Amino acid sequence: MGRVLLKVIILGDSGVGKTSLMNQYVNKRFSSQYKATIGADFLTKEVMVDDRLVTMQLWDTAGQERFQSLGVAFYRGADCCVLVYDVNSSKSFETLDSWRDEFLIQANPQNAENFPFVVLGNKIDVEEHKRQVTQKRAMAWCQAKGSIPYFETSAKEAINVEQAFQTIAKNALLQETDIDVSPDYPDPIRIDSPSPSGGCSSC
Amino acid sequence: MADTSDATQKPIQVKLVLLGEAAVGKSSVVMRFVNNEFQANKEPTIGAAFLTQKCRLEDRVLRYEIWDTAGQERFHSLAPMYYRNAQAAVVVYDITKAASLEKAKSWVKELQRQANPNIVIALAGNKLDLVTGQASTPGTSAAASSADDEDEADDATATPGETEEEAGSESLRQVPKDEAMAYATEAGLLFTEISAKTGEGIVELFTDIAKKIPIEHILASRGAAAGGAANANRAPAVNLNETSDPKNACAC
Amino acid sequence: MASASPAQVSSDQAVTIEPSGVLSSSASISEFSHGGNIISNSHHGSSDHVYLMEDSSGSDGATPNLMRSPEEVAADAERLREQLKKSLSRGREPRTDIRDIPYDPSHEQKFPPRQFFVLTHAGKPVFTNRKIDETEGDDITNLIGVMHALISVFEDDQDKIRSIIAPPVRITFTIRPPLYYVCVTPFAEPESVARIYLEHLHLLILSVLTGSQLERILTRHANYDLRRLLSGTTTMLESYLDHLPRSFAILASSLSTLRLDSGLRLRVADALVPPPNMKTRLKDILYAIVFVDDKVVTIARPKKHTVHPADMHILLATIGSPAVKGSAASWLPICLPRFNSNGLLHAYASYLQLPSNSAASASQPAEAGEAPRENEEDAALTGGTHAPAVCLVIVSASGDFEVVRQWADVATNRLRDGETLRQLLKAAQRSTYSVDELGIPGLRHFFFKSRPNVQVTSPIFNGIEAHAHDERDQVELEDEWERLFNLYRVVWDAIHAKSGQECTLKLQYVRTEAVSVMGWITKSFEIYIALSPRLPKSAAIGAANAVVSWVKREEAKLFLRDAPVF
Repeated sequence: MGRVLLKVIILGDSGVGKTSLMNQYVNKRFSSQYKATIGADFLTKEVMVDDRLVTMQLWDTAGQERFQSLGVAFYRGADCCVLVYDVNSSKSFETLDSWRDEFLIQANPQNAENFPFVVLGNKIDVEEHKRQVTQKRAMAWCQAKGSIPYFETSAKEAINVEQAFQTIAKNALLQETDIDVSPDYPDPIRIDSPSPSGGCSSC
Repeated sequence: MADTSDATQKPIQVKLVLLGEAAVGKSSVVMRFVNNEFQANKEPTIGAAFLTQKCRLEDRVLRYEIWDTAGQERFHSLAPMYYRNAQAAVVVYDITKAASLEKAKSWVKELQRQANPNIVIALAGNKLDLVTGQASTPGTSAAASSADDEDEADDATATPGETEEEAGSESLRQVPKDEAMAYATEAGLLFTEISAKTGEGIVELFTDIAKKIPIEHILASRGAAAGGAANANRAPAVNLNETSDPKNACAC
Repeated sequence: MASASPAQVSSDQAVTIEPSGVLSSSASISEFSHGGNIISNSHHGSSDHVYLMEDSSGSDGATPNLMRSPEEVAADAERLREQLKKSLSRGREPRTDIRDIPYDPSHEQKFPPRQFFVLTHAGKPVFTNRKIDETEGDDITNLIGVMHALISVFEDDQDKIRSIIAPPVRITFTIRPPLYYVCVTPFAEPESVARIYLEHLHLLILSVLTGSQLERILTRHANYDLRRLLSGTTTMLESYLDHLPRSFAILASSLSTLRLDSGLRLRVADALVPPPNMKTRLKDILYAIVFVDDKVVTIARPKKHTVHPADMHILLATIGSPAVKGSAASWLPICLPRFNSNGLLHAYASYLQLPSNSAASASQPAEAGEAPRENEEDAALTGGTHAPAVCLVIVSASGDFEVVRQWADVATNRLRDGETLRQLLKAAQRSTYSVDELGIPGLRHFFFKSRPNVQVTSPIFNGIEAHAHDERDQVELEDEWERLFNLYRVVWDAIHAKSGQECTLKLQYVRTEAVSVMGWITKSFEIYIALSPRLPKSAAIGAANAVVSWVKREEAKLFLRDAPVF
C-alpha cells in the first residue's frame, strides 16, 4: 500500500546533458543503452517523500526527431515531467516552450494546469561568459508557465538535481490524492440476456 | 418461562460485520474468537468470509453470523452488501499504524450514514501484543493473561506496564489509547484494544457488543416482517410470545 | 530453421548491453544484444539476426515536432520505419521442429523458471512473478519500461511485436489494451503455449478487475497504479502461473473431471437441484458446482447458458486461494471473463466438512459456516495432507446473498444427510488411477480428451521407466514429468498447427531415447500417449487403440455427462 511508482519524463534538446544528469542522479555508470533504437533509456530511483517510499521510473527520451512520433505512447500516464535546457544555449531554452506544449498535447493529462513540471538549467559549471540564459529570464518563464519550480545544476553537483526530483515527486504525489478512483463495480450482469457462446453445453 | 439452559434456549441470530483497512487483523480477530487459534502471515481475505459463533450471556444466547470482509481497496464499494442488515459492526484498526485509524473513522462514518440505524459499532485497536510485553505469553483468554500478571507482580520492584522490554515496545504504538477512546466516546462507539495473537480482549469485545445489541428491536422487526423464505432454513426465529415474558427481557 | 545459437555481435554498429546493466543474465532480453529474431505481425525473422543499431546519423539539432513542418515530421516517421525495416529480417517464422527438442538428461539448465510481466499501456508495472530482491527492484522497473518502448515502437509502425526468439528462451508479447503481457519461456516450448499462459494470466486479472473497470480506470487515469487494485492477489496469481504449465486441461481448453461411479455423481447432482420454493428466485443463478480439489464432480446450470472451461479454471484458482480454503464459507465478487468479461458475478464457496454424529447436531440443521466437529473416521477422510477438499460453489449474477445461501444450505444438508458427502470423500481418495489399471504393455502415461464432453482424463504419472513402483526421487520425477509434458505440448502444437505450421495433423509420433509420444486426433477424441521407446510404432498404434477402448468402457465413470440443468 505504501509503495508508489511515478513515471517521470525527461525532456529537452539533445546535447543539454540530460543523460549524464540522470546517470549521475541515479548513480549508475554512464550508459546510453537503447535510446538510439527504441527511443528511450530507463533509470529508476527511489526517494523518500514524507515517509513514503517512492520509486521514480525515469524515461530519458531520445529527443531526436525520428522518435517523436512515439510521444503519445511514451508520455501516456506520466506523473510528472522534467524539462532540461543548457544555460549556455539560448536555443535550448527557447525550445522548452515547445517541449512543454508538445508534451501536454501528447500526454493529455487530466489536470493540465496543475501538471507537475520542473525545469533544470544545466551546465552552470561552464565559464560565466558563455552563459546565454540568465537565471532571471529562466525564472520569469517558469513563473509565467504556472510557477514551475526551477533549479540550476551541473553534472558535477548532484545536489540540486536531488532537490529537483524531491520537489517534483512531492508535487506529483499531491496530484495523486486528487484522483478519485473509487471504482464503482459495474452494473450487475443480466444472465437472461445473450452471452457470448462457445462454452461446453454437452456437459 | 425463563429457561436459561442451553439445550432449550434458542439462540438469537445476529449479523456482525468486521470492517477496516487491509492487514489490521480482522481475520485474525475472527479466527481467535471462533476457533481460538492464531496464525501468523495469514493470506488476505477475498470478498468476505463468514462464520458463526455463539456468545452466551447470562440471560440469552446469541449466534453471531460473522462477516469478515476484505480490506483491500477494490472491495470497498461492495461493503454495503456485506453490512446490509447487520446488527453489529466491529471496525478494526492497527494501533501500530496511525493511518489505519483514519480509515476506521471513515468506515464508522459510512456505517452511521448508511447502515442499519440501530447498529452497534465497536472500535477495536488490534495488535496490542506489539506494544506490550505480552507477545511471549500466548494466553487464550483474558483470564489467562491476568494470571501471568499476577506472577509478574511477585517481583516487588516491578510495576504493571513496565515489564515489556523484550517482545513489545510502546514506541511501536502510533495510536494513543486515549485518543482513540476519546474519538469512540464522541462517536458513540464501544471501544477496546485487543490482541488477536494473545487473545486479549477478544471475548470481552464480542460479549460487550452482545450486551449492547437491542434484542427487542431485532425480535420485533423479525416478528413483524413476513419472515418468508429467508428465515426458513436458519435457526428457528424466536417466537414473539416468548419474548414478551418479562424474565427474558434484556436487563440493559 | 533458425539456429539455436546466438549470432555474433559483429561490427561497431552493434551496441552491446552490459551484463550488469538493466537486464540480468537470466533475462531473455540480454540475449538481445547478441541478436535475436524479432517476430512481428508484418515482419518475420529468420536466420538473420537483429542488432540494436547505434545512431550513426547523429543529428544534433533535435527539435520538438511543434516547431517543424508537417512534411518534416512525416519524413522523419518514414525514416524511422526504414530504420526498423533495416533492423528486421525477412523470412518465415521459425517453427519449433521436434527434432530440435533437447531431450538430453544431461542438460544443465533444462527449464529455467518461466517469467511473466504485466504492464499498463503507460509502461507502469502491474505484476511480475519474478522475485524482486533489493538490488534488482530497479532493474525490473527499467525492464518494464524497455518492454513498453519495444511494443510502442512497433505500434507506431502499425505493427504488433509478437515474440523475440533468443535461445535458450523465447519472449512472447500479448497486447490486451490497456494491458501488455510478456513472458519468458523455454525456447523448446511452442509459442502457442506461451500465448495460452499469457491469455490465462489476462483472464485471471480480468476476473479480479473486470474488463470494463480496467478500461475505464486506465483510460481516464492513464497513470493509475493498478497494483493497488490487485493487492492481495499475488499468491493467487503466482500459484496459477505455476499451475498453467502443468495442466493439460487448460492446454486443451477442457474441464478436468473426477472419476466417479456414475450413480454417486448423480446423487451429488440431485443434491444440487434447487429447492422447490426457490424456483422463482433462480433467475440470477448461473452455476452450482461441486469440485473436489481441482476436478469437477458436477455442474448445474440454467438451460440457456453454457460452461466455459477457462472460467472454471479461473473459478478454481480463486476458490483455491488460501484465504478461501481456510474459511468455511466465502462470498466473493468475481468476473468470469469468458462468460462476460465486463460484468461482476458473486460466488459463494463453501468447503464442506462432514458433520459430527452427535445427537445435538442432528437437531440443528448444519449450516454453512459452522465450525466442524468430526469423529475419528471422518477425520481420516478429511484430515491429512492428501485429504480431498470438497467445495460447493454457487455463482450468482446478483448480490442477493440470502437466496444463494439458502440454496447452499439445502444442498449441503442433502449431501450430508444421505451420506453422499461421506461417500464422495471416500471415492475421491480412490479416484486417481495408474496406467497399470489399463494393463497395456509399454504404456507409461496418457492424456485423453473427450471432445464432445470437453473433458480430459489422465492417470497419475509414475515416471518414464517401467519400475514405476520403486522409490522415485521426487526431483527426478518432476524433471521427467516436465520433459514429457513438453513433448506432449510440442505434439499438441503440431497437431493443431498452432504455430503457423502448414497444416494440421491427424497423428504424430515422436520417439526419443527415453520415451515415445504419440498424438492422435479424431472427431470424438484427442489422445496423447507416452510409451516405452522400445515399442515399435505399430505397437504404439495398438496401445493407443487399447487406451481408447478402455476409456470407452470406463466412460460413465470418467466423464460428467448429462449434467443437471434448471
